[in-house]
Amino acid sequence: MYIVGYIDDENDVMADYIKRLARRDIEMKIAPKGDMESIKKWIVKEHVECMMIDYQLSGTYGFVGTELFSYLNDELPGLPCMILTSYTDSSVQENKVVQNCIFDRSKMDRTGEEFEQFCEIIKQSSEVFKYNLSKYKQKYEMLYQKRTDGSIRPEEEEELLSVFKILRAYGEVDDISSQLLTTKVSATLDSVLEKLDDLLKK
Amino acid sequence: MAKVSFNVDAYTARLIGRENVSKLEGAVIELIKNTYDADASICILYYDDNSEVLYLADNGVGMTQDIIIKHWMTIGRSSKKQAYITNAGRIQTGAKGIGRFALDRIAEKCTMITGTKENNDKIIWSVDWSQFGGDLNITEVTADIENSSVSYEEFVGHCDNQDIVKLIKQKWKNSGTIFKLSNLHEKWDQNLIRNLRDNLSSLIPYELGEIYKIYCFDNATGIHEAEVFSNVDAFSYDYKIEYEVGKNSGGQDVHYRIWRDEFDFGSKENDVLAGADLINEKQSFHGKPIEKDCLFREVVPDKDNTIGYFKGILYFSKISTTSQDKERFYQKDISSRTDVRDTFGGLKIYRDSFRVRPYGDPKSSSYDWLQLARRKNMSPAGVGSYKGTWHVSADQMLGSIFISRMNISLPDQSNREGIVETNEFRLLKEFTLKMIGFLEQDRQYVCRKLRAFYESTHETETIEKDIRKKAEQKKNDNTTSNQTNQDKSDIGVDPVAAQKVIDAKDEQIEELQNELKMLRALATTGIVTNTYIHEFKTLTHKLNMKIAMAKEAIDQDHDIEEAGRYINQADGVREAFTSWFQVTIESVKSDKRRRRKIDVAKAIAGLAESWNLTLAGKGVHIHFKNIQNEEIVLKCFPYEIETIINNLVTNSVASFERIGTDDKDILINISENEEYVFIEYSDTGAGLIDLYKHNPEKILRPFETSKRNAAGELVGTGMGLWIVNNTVLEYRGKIDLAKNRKTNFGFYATISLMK
Repeated sequence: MYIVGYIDDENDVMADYIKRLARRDIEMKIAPKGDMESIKKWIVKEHVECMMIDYQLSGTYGFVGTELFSYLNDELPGLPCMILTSYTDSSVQENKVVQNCIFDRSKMDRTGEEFEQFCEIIKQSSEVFKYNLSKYKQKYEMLYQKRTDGSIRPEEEEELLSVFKILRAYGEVDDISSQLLTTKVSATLDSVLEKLDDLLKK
Repeated sequence: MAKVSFNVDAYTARLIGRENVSKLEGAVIELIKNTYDADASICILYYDDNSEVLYLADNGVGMTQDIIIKHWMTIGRSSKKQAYITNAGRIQTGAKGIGRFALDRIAEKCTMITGTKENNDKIIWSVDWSQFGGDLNITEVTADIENSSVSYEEFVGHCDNQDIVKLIKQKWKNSGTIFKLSNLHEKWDQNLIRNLRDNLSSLIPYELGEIYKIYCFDNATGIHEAEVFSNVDAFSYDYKIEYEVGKNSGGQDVHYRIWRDEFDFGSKENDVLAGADLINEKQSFHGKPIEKDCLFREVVPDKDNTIGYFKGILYFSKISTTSQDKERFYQKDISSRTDVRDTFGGLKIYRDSFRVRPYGDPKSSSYDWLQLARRKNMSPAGVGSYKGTWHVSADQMLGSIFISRMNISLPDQSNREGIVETNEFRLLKEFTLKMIGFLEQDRQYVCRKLRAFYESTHETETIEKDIRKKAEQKKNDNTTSNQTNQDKSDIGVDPVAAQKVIDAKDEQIEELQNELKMLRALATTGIVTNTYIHEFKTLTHKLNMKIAMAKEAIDQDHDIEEAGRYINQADGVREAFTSWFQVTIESVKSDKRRRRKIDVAKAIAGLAESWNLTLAGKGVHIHFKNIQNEEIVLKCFPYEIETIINNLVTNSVASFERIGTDDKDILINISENEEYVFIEYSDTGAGLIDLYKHNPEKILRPFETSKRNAAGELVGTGMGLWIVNNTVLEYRGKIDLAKNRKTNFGFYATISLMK
């Protein structure tokens, strides 16, 4: 099952969306009301693999969909997002989101090939996301091991930090400061702990 | 004593020749003149840009070996000096015997094929003009000449443009001449060919097009495009005068014909012509010319024709007209008329069918050689004027005057810059002006009659014009004030006549007002539709969604009951659509466009109910209250009342969306007194923005808006409240917005409509 998130301020056909997508092996989850940060947390918590955002959200949320799109791009790198709206022109004119990521909401009410193709786009986006996330995890584990062995090179340490930040955003690693992963801080920390051990022994 | 003959250095002979044909254009024209003189019906000028060879071909009489040797090759000797009328009756245009030097001007090498109808064999003659540049005497320079069995087609057979080969095959019989010129002195490009075409188009009068055609080809040109006079048919005119002078013995006779081709009376032709007293001349408006014969003296007083035989065709062709003139004078539509001034404009003189430059040349100062513009300035009256004399403008006249070398009193200037200003030339000018005068008189005669008829059928316009004229006169009098009382009393206005004008104007105003009212209602429909376009899209989406769900319930779940539920939901969406149509398109239904007495309270209550159905999904509710709970009768156009309410409701809904409130109420109270109906309108929205808060009346002006989209851009039309205000003013009412000054939230308006 693919997990797709959806945010809209008013849409009384959401139940129809959920049912229709479920027939195509896509589970649609509806975002709660709240600010951008709470929506980000909800996405992580629900393990959303692709996010669909309505453009006109300001009545309920105080921001428009393209603003949330940009925010999620920064905060959750690699998360596929798309604008699903009746206001495609406005979304395009703003130049905040690339046109390929903007879809007319009528895609959802189409029958036949057009709807099936749209579902395939959602699924493919989820697959890309899952693949990238697992790739990051593998890389993180490999680099972390090197850091533990003391064989990590400076450029690898930088890479470790950026992969860590991505995985931390998705809650895949502990929410600690990335500074703690640097060899220098780690060495200092080890030395402090060693001294603490000595003190305790005395 | 021995006799020693003179000789001429070949180079000098070449120089003399070149003096006469100094320009390339002149050289080409000189050769084309020769083709006309040879009684050709077709002349081809073809530049093959692949081989850089120029061909000049004609299907005229051609030359025998004897003519070539005795005339063609004898410089300065022309057969045309004595026998200047050809077998086909053409008067030959050249006589100096130097035309052949034009070939030298164009190219270094020349090969000619020529033949006559008497002999099947052809003669091929060729010369290399560079021989004339050495130290040889003219008698030592030679050309090659030989008899040949080569046909004309074979001579041009290797041309890249096969259209030429086809044309020669079709139109060349035994006789004709083709020159092949190579090692050209000029670079022949598209511009040169285009300029040459333009020049050729005015070289020969288009009246000659039927008997003599010129084609100008390059490799990319087909037969149709190559024909130089192919646009003659496109020429249309309003008036034409054709004349012939001195045809009979004594030479004092003048015969002229005038064609009226300017008018179109449509289906009312008989009524108009009868009313304008022109019914007896009906045929003249259908192509039959008005013909007259007279003596030269009757045209030019006290003068006899000393010019000889000549003729001319002059056209009057308007370039533009006004809608008023078109209506008054029943003029034909000339909007699609081609402007031919640049090619055929001006009055040109042709001597034996070839232009005498520069008369009538559109690009020269001799364009207006008859000084028609000066004449027009001296009498600028319009064609319908009862008192003034109308004259043509210089750029409205075009045509041709045909003279001949037989008009010996009209000799060419030695520098070929026109005709010598002899008494006869002045007489020719005077005569031509008189002919133009005849055309003008006839046109003015017709237009005056049509004007009188128009005025008799448009009385109020005439009176209005008279009043305006008198007002203008009065204004002038006030500035000069040296008139007698008697003069001043003449400019009084007849009140009965003035009343007629006022009544007619009132009718016009009422018609315009009704149009304006309708446009306001349509504009409101547009505003409402535009404002709720998202709602329409949403409804469409919902409807499609329900249908898609019903389909899947059947196709995939085989669940008929569930499909039925979705269809019922779709039906609900359909009802929502209907309610939208109630508040938008229904406003302009025909029964609402009829002014009548209605219970305005009931009408607004019904509209509020429709809006409530429509806006239920948005949580908006309209509370309507009839304060006195009695019927409130108002004579009105029902759609105007709806226009007022629809614009106000639309603004309120936008306001609710802007602030995202849950409290979305609109209150409409209606009441009346003896004079007025009062509509109190308010909502729980954001109220006016600060810009309008202290001056709420400003929002009633056109294009004032504070409506923005989600991105903060102004998207309102600024027309809604302006329409409301104008509609209210129609009922001698007003909109009171004063309460908005004191309140922090909500919009308030009290509208009064006079009963």
